[in-house]
Amino acid sequence: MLRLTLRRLALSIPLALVASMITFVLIPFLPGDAARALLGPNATAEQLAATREELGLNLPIWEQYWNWLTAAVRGDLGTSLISRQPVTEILNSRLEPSLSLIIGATVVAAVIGIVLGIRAARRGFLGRFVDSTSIVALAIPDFWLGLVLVVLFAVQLRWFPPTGYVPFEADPLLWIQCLILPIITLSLPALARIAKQTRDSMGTALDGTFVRTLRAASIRERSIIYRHALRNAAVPILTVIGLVFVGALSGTVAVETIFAIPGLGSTAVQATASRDLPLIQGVVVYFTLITIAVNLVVDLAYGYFNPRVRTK
Amino acid sequence: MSLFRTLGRATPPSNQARTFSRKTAPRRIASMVAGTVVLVLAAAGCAAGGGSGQSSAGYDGDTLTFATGTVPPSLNPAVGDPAYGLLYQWAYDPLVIMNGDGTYSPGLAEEFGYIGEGNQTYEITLRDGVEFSDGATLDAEALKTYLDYVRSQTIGSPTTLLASVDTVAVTGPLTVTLTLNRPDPGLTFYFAQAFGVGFVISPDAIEDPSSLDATTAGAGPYMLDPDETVAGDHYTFVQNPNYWNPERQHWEKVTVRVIANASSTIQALQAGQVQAALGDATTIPAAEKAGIDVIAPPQALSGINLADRGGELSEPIGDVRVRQALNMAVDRKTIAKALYGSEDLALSQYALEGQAGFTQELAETYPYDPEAAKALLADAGYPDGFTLPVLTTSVSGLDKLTEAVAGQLSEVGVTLDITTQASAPDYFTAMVSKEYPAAVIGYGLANMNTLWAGFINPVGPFNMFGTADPELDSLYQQYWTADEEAGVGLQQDINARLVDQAWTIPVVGAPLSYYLASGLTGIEATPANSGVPLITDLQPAK
Amino acid sequence: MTTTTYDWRRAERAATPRRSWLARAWRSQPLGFLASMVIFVVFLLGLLAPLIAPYPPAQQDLLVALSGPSAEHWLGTDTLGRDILSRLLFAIIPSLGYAAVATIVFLGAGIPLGILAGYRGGRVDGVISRIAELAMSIPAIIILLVVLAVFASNPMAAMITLGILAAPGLIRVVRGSTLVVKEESFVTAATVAGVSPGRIMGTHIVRRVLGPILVQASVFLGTALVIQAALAFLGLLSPSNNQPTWGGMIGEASQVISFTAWPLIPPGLAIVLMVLAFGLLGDAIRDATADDATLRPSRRKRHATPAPTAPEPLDLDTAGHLLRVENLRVSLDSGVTLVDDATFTVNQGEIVAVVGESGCGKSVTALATLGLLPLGLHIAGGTVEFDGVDLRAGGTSAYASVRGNGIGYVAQDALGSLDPTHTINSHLREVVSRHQKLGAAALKARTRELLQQVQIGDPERVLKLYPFEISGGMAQRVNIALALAGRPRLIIADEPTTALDVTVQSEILHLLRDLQRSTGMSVLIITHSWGVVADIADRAVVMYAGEVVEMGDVYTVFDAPRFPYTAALLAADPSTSPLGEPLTTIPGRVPAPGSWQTGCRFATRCQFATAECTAGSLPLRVVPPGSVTRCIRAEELIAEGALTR
Repeated sequence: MLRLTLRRLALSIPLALVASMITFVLIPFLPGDAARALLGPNATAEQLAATREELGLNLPIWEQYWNWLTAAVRGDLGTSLISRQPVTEILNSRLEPSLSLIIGATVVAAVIGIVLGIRAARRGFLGRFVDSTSIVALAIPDFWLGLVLVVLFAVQLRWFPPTGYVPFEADPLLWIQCLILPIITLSLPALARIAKQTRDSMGTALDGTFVRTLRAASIRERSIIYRHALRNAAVPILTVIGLVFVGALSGTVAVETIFAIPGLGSTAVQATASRDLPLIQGVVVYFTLITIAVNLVVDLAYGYFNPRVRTK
Repeated sequence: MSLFRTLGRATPPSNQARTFSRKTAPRRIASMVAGTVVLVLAAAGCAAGGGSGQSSAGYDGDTLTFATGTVPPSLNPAVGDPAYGLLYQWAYDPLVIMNGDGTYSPGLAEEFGYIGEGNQTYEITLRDGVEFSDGATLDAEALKTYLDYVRSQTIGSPTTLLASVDTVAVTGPLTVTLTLNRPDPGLTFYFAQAFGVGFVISPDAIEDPSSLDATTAGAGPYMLDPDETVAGDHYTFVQNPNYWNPERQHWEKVTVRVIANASSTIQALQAGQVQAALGDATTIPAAEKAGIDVIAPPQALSGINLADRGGELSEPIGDVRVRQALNMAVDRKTIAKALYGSEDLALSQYALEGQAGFTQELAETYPYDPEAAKALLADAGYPDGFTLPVLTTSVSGLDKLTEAVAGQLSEVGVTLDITTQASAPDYFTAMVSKEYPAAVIGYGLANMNTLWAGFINPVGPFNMFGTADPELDSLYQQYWTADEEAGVGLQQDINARLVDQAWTIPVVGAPLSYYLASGLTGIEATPANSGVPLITDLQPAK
Repeated sequence: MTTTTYDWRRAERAATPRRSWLARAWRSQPLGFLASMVIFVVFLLGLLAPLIAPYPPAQQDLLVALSGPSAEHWLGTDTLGRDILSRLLFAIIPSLGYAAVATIVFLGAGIPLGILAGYRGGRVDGVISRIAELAMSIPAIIILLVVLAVFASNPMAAMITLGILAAPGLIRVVRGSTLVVKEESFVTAATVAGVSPGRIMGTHIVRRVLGPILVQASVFLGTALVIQAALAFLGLLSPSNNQPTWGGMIGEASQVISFTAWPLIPPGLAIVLMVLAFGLLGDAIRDATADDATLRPSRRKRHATPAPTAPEPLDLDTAGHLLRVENLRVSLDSGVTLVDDATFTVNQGEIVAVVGESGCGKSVTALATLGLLPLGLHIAGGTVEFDGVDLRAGGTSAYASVRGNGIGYVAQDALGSLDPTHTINSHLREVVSRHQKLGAAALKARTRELLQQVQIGDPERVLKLYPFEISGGMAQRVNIALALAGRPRLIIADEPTTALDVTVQSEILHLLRDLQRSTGMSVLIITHSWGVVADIADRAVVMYAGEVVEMGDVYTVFDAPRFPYTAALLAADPSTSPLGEPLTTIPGRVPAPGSWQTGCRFATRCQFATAECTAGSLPLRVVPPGSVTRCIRAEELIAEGALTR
């Protein structure tokens, strides 16, 4: 188990850097460049040339990538072409809002989804309700849902602030308030997925032969569900939770734009629009590392719930 | 859903789900339909009701939150752009203040203006007793340091604007004289708050220019509090203890928040999160409906720039009759009303009402008359119309404007082949590449001098094909050396010539807009001062 | 394991009439059918848009911009006064088209690589799997953003990229299915017959993995649609006047959202509808191509087949039995009867074997006794009485109180009966605690005691193990230990040795017998093997086609069976047949439930059958000295000696 973890961690850095190479391959084909974005429309040709020189954009692309790579392995992801700040500093400050959003959405979706799924696994009205609504919930595009939520709750009812983000340290209550609508947006379809998967897996687990044996031994239904069936159903459920997390990561691009949250997702869009190469690369690296971390956590969790994986 | 659900590991093969017999299927469908109907009704309910009005009580707090859409990467005004003036102004007072009626008042400079003939020498006398927020004194030496610093820059617009300045000389303890290398009547305007060359920076800070990226060192009512600032998200300004006019410090604290989405800005105003905001032309109707105070001076000439006047790419456009015909084929008033909320914003000349060059008669030059347009096109040899490739961008709703114009031009047989570049940098790159004979244009109007710089100048970005007109050139030669009085007539002549030669299809004077919570006053923004007020005058109405 | 479970679906299908293809599709997958109809109709509307839309998509009417639904514009107008309904219709083909492009690329990249990886295995598999894993860690969203910037907001470029980026997910699924299919015999046969690997992969395997592929494809269609809409919303796709897309319409609507929220609704709902339809279609395909028999919890038919005439109660000495089952009827919820008139008793301290071929209903009878019938089955009649308590009348609480400490249960699937996520120790402690409140030390002692009781020599070691770490025989011992934990008076063992090795079989059987002797408990053992009956049973109950046909002490049943079927079965037992002679078989087949005739169900295969055998229902009756039989000719045949071996 430990060896597996270490091996995964060791592989993650090269993996992230390989991922960055893919974006770099595309960069030469980008029309326009950071100089134009930086200087605006009134820049003269000389100004543009001077800026390009200053930003090192005139070097061959392989040299630019090599410079970036050699610095990156030392932890230096370069400086933003537009704002002149270190990329790591910019992205670290954007990490908290995004992670608050993603982790919040995943936790909400997982808790409610699993509870609903377990209740629904025992058929009856709730089962049908979960099935029907989860199918609809899965079909709703998250950015559309976000817009609708904003109109409903922030504009019409004024229950929540429509935009912005307040760090936890500044004001915990406001932090939660700002995050509620975005989290609902991200977690609704995720919730449906988790509930559906929980229901399916619990249904299968409860069909297992050992459940009949347990019932024959007069073990209480509640124990059967939580101590036994849930553990057996854990692996696919965990997989879906992992997928949900990664999906939420991508979902931040639209959701952060709608709710004006200064996180990684909105940074990605801005960086691409202004051709800020180091920042784009930085976002790629961060996204990849987060994805790898989540996959690793999920795999470790498998081991906890499924002893067969542990001893392999 | 999350956006990218299946991008990730494959969903584990789902185990056999409980399927339902025929009898339960209709029930499931019914519950699904019911759920969506509820959602539709709820959302549609808000469509009918629209945004409800905000509270009627005026704002009486002592802090101000101001929202804007974009911020510069650096807070240094010398390497920035006038577009960000509403950020610089809190910390930097300008040399000259331009009032809403087009006249100038003293700012940091008590006396200012051209001396002699021909607009080739300029003198500034500073106010006495002014200190910067870092304690340095504003005197002639400090001003010279600042002006030389600006002129030495290679990026940013201020240095371009001072391109005509040859030398800066200290001619008194508080007096500076500028010698120009060519006639340039625009300096007073440049030193005012709209174009921002007059945001004087402390000489101490100039010794360490990189410090100006993230902090401020001006002589304005406030200064930046870097601890409470997150670049790109929000900027907090606190009172400048050294400010020369404490009566003008109306707030304890000013926070400038960046809200990129125009609709979100309105929502923030309604929710009371911000009290004032730089608006967006496309959301003015929504703001008014939401009960927000809107101050919206027309500011930018918005329309289609028929740049290829030499007919290089598009032969029809090379013919002035065609260009004139197109000007007759557009119903400006209807577009203005539909897209910008008011017919009064329709524009068909190159100056705004209240500006020196504006002439009422020019508004009648091209009345909306599709039949006459078609006849003129036929005269020019295009009875069946033609296709014109046009570049547009989604910034500031200019793509909607382009589409509206396209709809009207199609009535006279002219088809616009529209290409959209979403972001501004992409749009500019494509525009200057000369791949398109025409492009949408949104150009701030102030006076004919500023119009020259980017639009008429053969090397200006908006004159992509570098066309020139001898009569225009001659008018400008006179204008540059004329004094202010004579200049008025010359500006009107230039305007008339541009209208006659139909260099563009002007459609509207798109407004710069300011949204205010009720109970606030002080925004003096009109076409005469380019729509840029002295934002530090914003205060609670007593 | 289908030796004891019955193929209920086949039984049900056999009992219902055939219908047309469409009707069958509707019947079996109603939602999926509806979904595909919706998709088809929408697609048709899209094709017909130029004909049926009220306005051209680009026609502006600035005077009525942003008006809500009205007579001229059923769904209102957008910012430029264009008719929303028309644009919605014209947007069908572009929106679906882009999603289709992404899906085609998705399939084109995923299927061949997945099949290749699964079929070839080895290095090829290794390389493909590594690349797929790598690709799945990359944040696809960023790549999409950059691609869109490179290709000037071209939606085609974005969709192609999306298809490529999502393909690794499909590769995994296809590879998994291929691995399974590869092992199947028809593939081996084809390989042996010389069919080229390419052809095998291209035809046979593709056909078999088509199910999962179609499921993934339909889900992905929905996803691609939403992603395209999201990119358009973010303003990253170049909009087109004459080719609107739903996503673009949402994007335009979001810009005026503070003014009016209505333009947001129609395109959003359109997307929801289509994604819903694709999802339901995928679900339906997945269910339709399922391998195992899936039980449907259909509503019980209230109007079942008319109840048969109540069988006459058998005049047995009914007092003092530990377990008494009388006239038990078990049916499927759809009405088909599986067990009809099961009657037997178990006394304290005896070992009773219920014996019969697979499908005769013996396992169902055992489960019914415990109240553990699976979904889809229910007790339709009869009595189950344990220690004087009528369990059926007492309902779930009666059953619950009797399980574990009255009756214990050991299933056939030894390893499957244990929860793989818990250690043996955990299992035992849980069951023991259920019946007794013990302190820590006492609990520890009891678990060890139980393991020793089932003759496990090294309980300390075994307690720490997980079920997948022990052998089948050991597992069965553990199961017996679990059944003993509550100190039951009766253990029901359902084919406890069938799945085990021969040597282990006899060990387990003798363990049961030893336990019976040492604790005095009774055992009801279900089996299809006469060897087991001979080995440990005191009495035998023979079942055929859902009914008990004979009951008696084991010696009598073996030497002097009272029912022709029993005799024939014994004669056909290989272990007792003389060597060198052809094995006797019983001609014909066991009648399936639902197709039972009146009268003796064995009659069609019985060499002694007469017309009276099928005239009317045959009750169980006592045949001295101590046997019970259903054969009306029993005395006759015994006298003739026809049944004796």
